[in-house]
Amino acid sequence: MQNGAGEPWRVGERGARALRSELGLGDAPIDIRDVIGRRGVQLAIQEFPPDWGDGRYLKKGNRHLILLNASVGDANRARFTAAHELGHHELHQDNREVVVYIDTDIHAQRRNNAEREANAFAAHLLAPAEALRRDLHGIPGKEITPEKVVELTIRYGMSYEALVYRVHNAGVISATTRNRLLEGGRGRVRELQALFSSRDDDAFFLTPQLPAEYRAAALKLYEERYITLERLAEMLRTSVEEAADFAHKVGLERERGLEPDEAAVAELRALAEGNAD
Amino acid sequence: MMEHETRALVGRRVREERQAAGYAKLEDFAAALEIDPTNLSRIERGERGLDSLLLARIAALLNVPMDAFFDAERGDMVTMARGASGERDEMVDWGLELLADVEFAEGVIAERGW
Repeated sequence: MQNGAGEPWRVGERGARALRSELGLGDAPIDIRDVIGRRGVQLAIQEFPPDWGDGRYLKKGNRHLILLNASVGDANRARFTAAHELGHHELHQDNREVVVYIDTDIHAQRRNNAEREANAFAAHLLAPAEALRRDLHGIPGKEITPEKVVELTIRYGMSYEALVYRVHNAGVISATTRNRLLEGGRGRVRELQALFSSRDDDAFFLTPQLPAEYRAAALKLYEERYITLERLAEMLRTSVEEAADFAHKVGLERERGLEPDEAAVAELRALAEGNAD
Repeated sequence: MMEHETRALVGRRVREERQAAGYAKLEDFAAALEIDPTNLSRIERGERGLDSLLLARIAALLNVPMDAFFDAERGDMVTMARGASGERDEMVDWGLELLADVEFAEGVIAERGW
């Protein structure tokens, strides 16, 4: 029984299965950051006003970016958004130069197929039905407790509600059990979560950050004296002071007088403009 | 689908794609198409049909395939041609600037063999 039936649901599920199979992930819990990286997609988290919403997927030429809004302030939600945006990447390729998906509220009721497909993709990717079935195997619906659900939320990195709906949509529990668990979890999730250790990647999804490889590349340009400290600060989206501090911390201190020469800077600008076309 | 429904869909999709391509003002796009803005407005509102030649010109100007105008789902998928500014928001701009810098950094490193 597939309670989340419908074509978008199947499209999302197929896409998630195909990706798991291609990457050899089986049906084990995943680190979504790792999956995104293996698909050649950049992941950045930045503090934007809360009302700008969850995230964006951007494609420009052959470069791809998932951008999450740190001020949403919920690691489970951020992980789901990241998986949702990866769904756009996997399912909705478009050969135009620039493609953008603006997702201000990934949980909004959508009549739009692309959004429903991306949500189904995210749910299947994060928590495959087979794995959930195994996790709850032998436990009668009546005996599934909110504690058990919380254990699964940590395992799969999903919110309590999303996990309950997911287990129901995967056909593992009945609507009655779903409603009982939603009711039973209300107001208690935090208290229950305290019983378990949190996920290692929670802090990551709550902290503004640039893609690690890009940051390393920017530092490399600075180390090779290809860019000025000001340009490094610009590339790291930070102040000159913080950029200097950061460079210092990673052992990149440049003596005065070793700033890039004008010719190198001009060459750099020309290259930047050429690439920006 | 009834004829008036198709007209309404095509009209709505023309408006969405026009805005997504950066033609915020209907008048500007009408001028580019060399048609009367009143006619374009009626087309977008689904009050008036349009022939395939005009639709082909619209598709060419907006750089989208013809069938994009018959796909109801496509409307909420915000896609933009390069250089467009219509529907993008500041978060998108931030992301596009980051991608430009990523391209720059990778370009230099690849070129220099670092």
